[in-house]
Amino acid sequence: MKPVMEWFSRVLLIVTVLYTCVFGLIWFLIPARALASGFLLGGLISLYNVFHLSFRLRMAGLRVQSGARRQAGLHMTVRILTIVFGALMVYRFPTRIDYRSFVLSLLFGYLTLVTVMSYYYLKGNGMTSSDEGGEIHGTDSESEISRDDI
Amino acid sequence: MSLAVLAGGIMIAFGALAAGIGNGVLFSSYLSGIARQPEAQGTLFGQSMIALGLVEALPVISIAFGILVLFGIIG
Repeated sequence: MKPVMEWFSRVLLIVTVLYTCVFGLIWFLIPARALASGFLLGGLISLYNVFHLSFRLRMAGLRVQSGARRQAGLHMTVRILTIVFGALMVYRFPTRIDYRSFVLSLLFGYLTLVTVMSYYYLKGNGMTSSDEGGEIHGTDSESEISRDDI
Repeated sequence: MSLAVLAGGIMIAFGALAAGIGNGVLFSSYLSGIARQPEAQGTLFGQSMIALGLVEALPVISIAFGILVLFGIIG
């Protein structure tokens, strides 16, 4: 559990910093400030949603493992409300924030999430969980043990 | 009531409904998987994250468009 979670958080943090730097520079250097601020707002909201989703998923897993009676949810309302907040900002400042770039960049966090996690599994890290202190039942090694026993 | 308001409301409602059902199905499978095999949480976490990302991306866009249509910024 720990390696994938730490690795994912680190990569997502780096992506967030890079994204902020790139669009901050664009906002400073290029006159199209509304476009850049739309991308900044939408992208940061999206990345926050992905961070929040991973945190809630982790918390829910830990609660199930610890046997807590009260189950944890995914807090989807919070994520929807962040989008509503962004849309209200676009509505309040239409000349400063471009709505097209805002809507387009809302996909950025989810695309990053799918890309990063798919890369993790394509690299072959998630095939077994032996490095995470556990094992997956029903593998070939288990059948070998039963053969020796016979 | 103009049609734009109706369209915005439908977009938000169905987007949230679809995201809720999709997330609920995925999340319940994730929790039952952990309850059955706690040591597989690392593997399940990554796969659930990919699936949740795919499920949630479309409703997010739908909700954002719906709000913008509702406020009259688009349409």
